[in-house]
Amino acid sequence: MGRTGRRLHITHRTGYRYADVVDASFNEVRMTPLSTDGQLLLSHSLEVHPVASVQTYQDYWGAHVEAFDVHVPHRVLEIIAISTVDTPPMADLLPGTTWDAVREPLLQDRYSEYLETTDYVDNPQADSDRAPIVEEMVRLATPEDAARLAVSAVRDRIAYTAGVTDVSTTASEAWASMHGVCQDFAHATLSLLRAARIPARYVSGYLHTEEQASGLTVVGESHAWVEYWDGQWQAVDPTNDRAVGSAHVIVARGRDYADVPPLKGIYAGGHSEALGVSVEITQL
Amino acid sequence: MDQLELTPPGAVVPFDEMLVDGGQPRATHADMHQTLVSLGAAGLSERARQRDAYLDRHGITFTLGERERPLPMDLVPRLLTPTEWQHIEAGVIQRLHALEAFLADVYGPGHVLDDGLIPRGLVTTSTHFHREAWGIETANKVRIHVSGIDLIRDEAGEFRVLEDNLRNPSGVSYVLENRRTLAHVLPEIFTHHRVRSVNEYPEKLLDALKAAAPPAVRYPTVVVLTPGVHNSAHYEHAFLARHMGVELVEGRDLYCRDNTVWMRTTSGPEPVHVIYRRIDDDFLDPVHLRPDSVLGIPGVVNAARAGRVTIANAIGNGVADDKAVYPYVPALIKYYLNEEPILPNVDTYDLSDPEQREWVLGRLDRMVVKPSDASGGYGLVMGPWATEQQLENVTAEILLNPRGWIAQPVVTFSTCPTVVEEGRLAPRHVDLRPFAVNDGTNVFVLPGGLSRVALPAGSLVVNSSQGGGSKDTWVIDDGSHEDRGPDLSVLEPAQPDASEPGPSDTRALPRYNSPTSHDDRIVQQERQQQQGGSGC
Repeated sequence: MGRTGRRLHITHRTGYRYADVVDASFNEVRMTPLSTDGQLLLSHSLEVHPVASVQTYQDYWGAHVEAFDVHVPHRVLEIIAISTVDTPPMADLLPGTTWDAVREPLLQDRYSEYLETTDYVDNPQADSDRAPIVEEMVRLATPEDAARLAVSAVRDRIAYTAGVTDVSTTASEAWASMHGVCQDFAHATLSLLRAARIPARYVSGYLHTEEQASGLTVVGESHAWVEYWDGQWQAVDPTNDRAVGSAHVIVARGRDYADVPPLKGIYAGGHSEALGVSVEITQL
Repeated sequence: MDQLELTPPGAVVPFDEMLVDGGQPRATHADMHQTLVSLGAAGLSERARQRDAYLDRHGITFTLGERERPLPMDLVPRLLTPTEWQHIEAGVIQRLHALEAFLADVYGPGHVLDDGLIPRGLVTTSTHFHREAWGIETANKVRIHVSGIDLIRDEAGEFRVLEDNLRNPSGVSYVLENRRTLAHVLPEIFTHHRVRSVNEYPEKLLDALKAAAPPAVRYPTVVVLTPGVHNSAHYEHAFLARHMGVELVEGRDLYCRDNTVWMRTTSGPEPVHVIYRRIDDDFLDPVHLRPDSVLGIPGVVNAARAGRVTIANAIGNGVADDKAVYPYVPALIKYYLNEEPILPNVDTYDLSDPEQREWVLGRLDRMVVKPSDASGGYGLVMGPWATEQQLENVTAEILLNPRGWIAQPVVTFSTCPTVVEEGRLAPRHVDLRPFAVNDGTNVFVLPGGLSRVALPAGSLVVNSSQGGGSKDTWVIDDGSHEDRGPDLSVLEPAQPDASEPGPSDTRALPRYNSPTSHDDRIVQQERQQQQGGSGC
C-alpha cells in the first residue's frame, strides 16, 4: 500500500443543540490540514451556521486555527470544515538513532516540551503495571525497539472500544479501564515513550480507511497518533498498528489532546447536546 | 521563634541611608536630620498622630487579609542623590530594554532559545509562559508598559536587583499619596531640599497607554480593568483611573464582538482600544485561559491578536519575571544589548540543578528560598528565622518540584531611620521599587519610586502584603529638571465617598443589551473525542 500519494477531500461536520437559546459563543477550530512533510493542503473552507466571520491564525504549535464568535441567538450550532489535501507516498523507513543521541542534553532541552508529563500524559513510573514496561524499554538496544515495545504494550493492554472513555480520559485512566479509542492509545503510548526520555508528540488528524477506487466516499473519523524523535520524527499509529503514510492526514501536533482540540469554545447558557461529529473522506 | 529577637546572620553591618559610623548624618542628609532632631520624639509622635488622621480621612488604605488598614507610611523620607538616581534610572532602563527583547523573542522567533543562552525547558515550564500569547504583537512593540523592578542596597551600598515585576506591579499610588501626605503633616522637612515631583505619573501612564493603541485609532479609549473592590489593590486601580480621567471597569462592563471590545455606557456601547488591566493573565479570557473565570472578557485574547485592542501589560510577561529566569537576566542584557549590566543581581541558586540544590539544602538555615513563580513575598522562607518544621517542609517541596524554587543568600538590605514606638528613631531595612512606564519611544522612570520598609526590628521582609510599610522617596533635583521642590498643592485630595468615575458605582450603568449576559453561566463547548481507529 501507499506507494503513491492520495488526493483526499475531507468533510468534517460538528453540531451542537442547546437546551436554551444561546446569545453568544466563542469558538476555535483546528481542522485545517497542514502543509508539512510532503503533505500539501490544496483548499480549505469553514462554514458556520449561524453565520460568523472567521479569524485565522497560526498558533504556538504551528496549527492553523480558525476562530469565530456567534452573536445571533441560536439553538443549533453547526460547523463544517472542508479540505482537499495531497498526502505523500509512504516514505522508506529511515534508520533510527542511538540512545546516546536521543539522551544528548541539548536535544533533551530542545524537545523538553515533548518530554513533560501533562494532565493527559502522566508518569507511568508511579504505576506498578507500567513501570516495568519502561524499565524494559530502556534496556533495549535502540529507541526504535523501545518505541515498538511501547506500542505493543499499549495494544496488548487496551482494546479499541468506543464509549468507555471520554474526551478527558488520561493515559493512566485508559490503562486502568483497558478500553479506549485512538486518543487514549496515543496518550498511553506518549506516557511510556516520555518516561523512557524519548521525545514524543500527539498528532491530530484524519485517517482514510479504505483503499478504494477514486470517487468513493467513506466514513472516517477524527484520528490521533504519535510521533517520536529517533534522529528524526517517526510516526506510529498505536491504534491500528499500521505504518503512517498516505492514508494519514496531519492537522496539528502538540503535547497532548489539549494542545490540538478540533473544536473548543465557550458559550453562555445551559445544557447542550452534541449532535455528533462526522468525517467523510473521498479519494479524488 | 520570634524574629524580633534576632539579628541578621553573621552580624553584617547594613548600609545606612542617612547615618555614617558614629551616628552622624551624611552631608546630603544633614538638613533632614536636623529637622528630625529638632522635632524630637514628642514632635514626631504628634506628627504621626496627624498622619494617621490624615490617611484615615482620605481613605488611603491597603487591604490585608479581611481588613482595610491605613497605609503605614513612615514620617522619615528616603533620600536619593542625583548621582544615585542617574545610576538607578540607567540600570532600570537597560534592564527593561533587555526584558522587552526577551519577551518579544520567546513569544516570537525564539532565537535566545535556539542559541542556548537559557534552557528552553526553563522557559517553557514557567507557570507564566502563556503559549496563547505567542505571535501577538502590539502596535508599538511594547509588552512591559508598566514595571516595578525591586532593588535593594547591599552592605557596601551598591544597588542590586532583587526581583523583576513585569506583570501587575502595584504601589505607585502610594508614591503619590506618600508625597502628598508628608507635605501636609511634615512640610518643614522639605524646606532645604528641591525634590523632584512625582505627580506626572498618571499623565505619563496615560500617554504610554495611548501610544500602545492600535495604529488606526486616532483618539483611543483607555480603560482600567479591575477584578473588583475585594482586590487588595483596588484603591490603586480607582486612583489611577481617576487621575488619568478614564473609566474604571470590571470584566462584566466590557464585551467582545467580532474582535472589537465594547464598553457598556449609559449612552450605548463604546469601543475600547487599550485595556490597562490589573487582573492576572489567567482570568483575562475564559476562551483561552481559565474557562471558569468571570473576571475577564471572552474573546479579548483574539481581539488583541487581531490588533484591535491592546492589553497592557501584555499577556505572558511573567515568564520574564520568573525567579528561575532572573539569574539569566545579566546574560540577556549582554545578548540583546551588548552591554554590561549597570545594576547587578543578587547571587541566586538554581534548584533544578542537582549540584546547586544539594549545596543549598545543606545550608538552608542560611538561605532565603522563594517560589519561582510568586510575587509579593508569598511563600518565601527566610532560613535563619525559620523553624525546623518550616525548613523540613520547604525541603520536601523543593525535592518534589525543584523548578518551582530558587535560593539566595540572605542579603542585608540597607537601613533608614524610621519612627518607631513613642516617636523614637531606629534603623529599619528598606528596599526600593522604581516604577517605569514604556511608551515605545522612551522609558520614563518615576523619580523616586516606592521605598518599602520592614517595620519589625531586624526584619528583612518589606512586602506590603506581609505587613511592611513605606516611605516617601525623594530624588534630589540637581537643577537639570523643570520640576521644583515640593508642590504642596499637588493632587486633589482623594474623596473616596464622593462620586468617582467608573461604571461600577455612581454612573451605575444600566445593563446594555449585550451578546454575552454574565447572568448566565459560562459553559465550555463539549469537546469531541478523537475516536478514529475502529474500522481501520
